[in-house]
Amino acid sequence: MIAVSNTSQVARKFLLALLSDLAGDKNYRRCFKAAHKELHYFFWKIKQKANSMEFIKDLLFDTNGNFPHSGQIDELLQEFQLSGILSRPNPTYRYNDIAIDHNPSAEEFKNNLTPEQKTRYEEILKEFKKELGVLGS
Amino acid sequence: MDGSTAISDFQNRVNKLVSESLSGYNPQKYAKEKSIRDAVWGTCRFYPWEVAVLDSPLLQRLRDIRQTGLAFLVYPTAVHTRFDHTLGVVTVASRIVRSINDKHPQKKDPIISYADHMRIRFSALLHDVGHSCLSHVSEAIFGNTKEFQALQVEINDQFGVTPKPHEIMSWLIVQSQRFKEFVDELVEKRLLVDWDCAPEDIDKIAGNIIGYRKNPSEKFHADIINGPMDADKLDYLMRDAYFAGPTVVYDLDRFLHTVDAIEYPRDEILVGHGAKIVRLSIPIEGVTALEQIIISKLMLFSYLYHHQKIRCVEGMYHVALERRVALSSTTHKKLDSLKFDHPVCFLSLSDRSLLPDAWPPEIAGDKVTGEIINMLVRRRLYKRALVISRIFIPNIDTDMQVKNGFNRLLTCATNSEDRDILTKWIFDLAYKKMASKSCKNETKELRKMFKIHHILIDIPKSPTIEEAEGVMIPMSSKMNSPDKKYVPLSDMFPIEKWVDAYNAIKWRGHIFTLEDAAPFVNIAAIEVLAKEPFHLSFTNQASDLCKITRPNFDMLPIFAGREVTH
Repeated sequence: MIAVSNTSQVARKFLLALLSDLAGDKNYRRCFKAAHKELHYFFWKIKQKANSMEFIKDLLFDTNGNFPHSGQIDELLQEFQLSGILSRPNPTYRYNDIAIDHNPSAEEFKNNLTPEQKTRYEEILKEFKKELGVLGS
Repeated sequence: MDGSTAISDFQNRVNKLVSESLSGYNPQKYAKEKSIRDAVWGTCRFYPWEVAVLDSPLLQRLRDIRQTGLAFLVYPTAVHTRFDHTLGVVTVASRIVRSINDKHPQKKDPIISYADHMRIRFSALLHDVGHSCLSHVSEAIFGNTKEFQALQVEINDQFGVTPKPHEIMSWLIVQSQRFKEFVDELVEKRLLVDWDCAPEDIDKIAGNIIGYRKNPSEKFHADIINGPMDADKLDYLMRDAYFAGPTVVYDLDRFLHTVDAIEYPRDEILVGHGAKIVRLSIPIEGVTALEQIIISKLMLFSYLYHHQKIRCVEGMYHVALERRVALSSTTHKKLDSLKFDHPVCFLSLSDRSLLPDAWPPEIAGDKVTGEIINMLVRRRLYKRALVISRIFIPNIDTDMQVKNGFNRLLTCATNSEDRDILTKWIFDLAYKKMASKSCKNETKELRKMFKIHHILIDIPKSPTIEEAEGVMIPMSSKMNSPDKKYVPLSDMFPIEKWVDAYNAIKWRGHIFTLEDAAPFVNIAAIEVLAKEPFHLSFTNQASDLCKITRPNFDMLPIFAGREVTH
């Protein structure tokens, strides 16, 4: 019997949560580095860790090329760009501006985390800010 | 091959299907090469073994799968098939191979050996053999099943690649035991005489189709078949534009003049797989030719792939096919001989499996499916009831609630539960409006026929340009220069600008419905989308573009003050 499945929405909500939390941190600018390779590498690293991969377990990475790459991450970022959550300001295109600091799906995601998951999420957020965030309010 | 559950299960099923397909096929009589005239690439030559494969039922099925699905209902001459495209990809792949070899005359042996060249042609020949009816429409259904997703995960674990569903199906066909026996038969019958096709060759041929090479120094072989600027894309851009009609061209000669096998340093975390990788790329002087290809792709999204009417007909067909699949597994209702108990069943289908080719069309079985297919065959299509575009949504650039609401609407592209709920809300409200006191007499007939499947919410994904980051450009034109550096194409050609502009201005989603129901669905959709969780309002243009006519209902109070295009 054929069973229809939906693409998991967990990764979308997780990514939205990271973006809104970064935008809400007064120590950082409301943007993240538009460094394609580093961004994919960051999420690939998360997927390699048994205790953090649950947030993005449905994302598949191509590792047969130059660097780990997930087409699904590109699609999600495109979707955020289309809806205006992200924008790439002219002329440098070096940063992705984050236009939200609150998102209902992100809130729902964070509210449903167990205490252990919350700790893991906070650790990932800290890493995300360190590697892809831009210091300065 | 391994202990993986999903892969073995699919392999067994595909092997059975390939055995049935090749049963009774005897390639003995084909001993000579053939020249085939192609509208796009001129006279193309095929080797005897290729003719034997082309004439097999596996490839002949592709003659009945149109390359651009139901686009011929909008562009009448877009009736080219996957078979034609396959011939084109073999030809273009060969040209790429020759171009690369010609660039290195000083080498004793060619960069791509004769046997490798033949393997690449073999991959090109079989790259689309895993397609099913209306290509990407059926792929969206079988590729979204739990069975298939489990297979994708296993393929990713084993090979580190993320191929599309039809590419995985093609890989399974080539890897099947029966297909390997078929290749052995070609060798035995001396159709394959000038190169040996050993079992490990089949692995490479199949690997090229899913973009996989075990040896990173051979990755460019796979890139020719499945990569950022592969022969597949070079053919379909030219072919789709040629047969549909829009003038979209790129400079293939210039591209071939510059394309090469170029060695990159590989990311250090992947060094375990090889510190260097050789990929299909272009030096800096060829960037303009590649830009043309990318722009051509975006143009075709506007003209063809995202054309509102094509999205509408494919959406209608999707509903019919999805319903057939659901009914075949949940009811005892016998529709016909078609089975859908596993994704592999889709490999037995072609376009005519659901679209009758006789006139008058006779549709047996399920009433809903029959109605939709009948409408498609007679070209009685749904009409637009609302156009969704960033430029028709006020405050999209300034209001956080609107951005979040629009993002929620966009999730309908990938989340069928969200889409089904939204469809029901709009249907219920539209029906309620039809049944309201002031309308109920005039809408009596309409209400009898109006059902939930008459509402289609279409949210296309915006185009992704994998060429921008996937292609690395050496900054020195001397390939072996010690100071050469590599930058992604996006550093030299800001493709993001084009994609952002496409999203801002060209991207459109739609709500489609029956022509008579459009005025009611238009009002209902606007009301539903104004509420939680969407908070979206629309300018008049979102409705005006739909050219809604309501000759039977124009006097109804519900439409007072609303202008329409008659």
